[in-house]
Amino acid sequence: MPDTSVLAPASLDAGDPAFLYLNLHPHEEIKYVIRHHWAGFLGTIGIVLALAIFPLLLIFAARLALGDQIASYSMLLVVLVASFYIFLLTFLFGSWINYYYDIIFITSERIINIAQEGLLARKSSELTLDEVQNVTADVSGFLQSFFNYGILVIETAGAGTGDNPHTPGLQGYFTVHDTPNPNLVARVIMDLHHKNEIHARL
Amino acid sequence: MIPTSYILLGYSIFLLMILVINLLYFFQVFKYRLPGDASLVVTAIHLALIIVILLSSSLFLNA
Repeated sequence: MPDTSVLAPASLDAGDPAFLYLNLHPHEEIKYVIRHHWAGFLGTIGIVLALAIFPLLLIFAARLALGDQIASYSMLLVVLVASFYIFLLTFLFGSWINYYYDIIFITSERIINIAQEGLLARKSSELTLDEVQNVTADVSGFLQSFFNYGILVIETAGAGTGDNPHTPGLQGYFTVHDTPNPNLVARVIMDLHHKNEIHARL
Repeated sequence: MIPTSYILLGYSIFLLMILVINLLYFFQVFKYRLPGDASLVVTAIHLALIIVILLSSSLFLNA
């Protein structure tokens, strides 16, 4: 068996109330919990850092334009700058929730893909391990190769899904972006699939 | 020049909106967080940063 310690927390109690919404079957065990790779969040952090410089430029420009008169606009400037940073922090927090609460649960029977899609919107899709026909790991580009993450495509016998509402995935394919170590995850899924097949034959 | 009362009124309305949005996010965090994950730490850092901005802005406004 491959070293899968990177995929799951050390202790995982499927009876915990936090897992109630998964509606696990009586003897179903959660084998792995997979979140998106942190490098998939780097783009958002970059945008936020770039935007964080904007108020400093605004103050600098106001100082140049207004000179000594800037004191009479100080209240407006303080309110604008504070509002901007509070908005930016809230945007970052919301983006982080969107990123961090996209979770793949691999149980002994199913693959459950939970996709967080903004404020108070969550999409849950699942397929049984028996339905898995083929699993493809796609690692492309410098960042993905360097940090070892990529797209995991699970070919299924049923309807497919994707984690991006704008590109919902091809019919018959279950697509998950920014999967950490997708080759290992693919192998784990196929191992569990074969194990289930052997178990069903006995 | 915008009157001070209008600036403070606008800021208050904005803060109220942000408060509602943040409360909805906190609701999601507490409903869907998994045991042992980073949710509470990140939420605490987010709250701390918001409080720092609010406190420093009110200090500047009172100065």
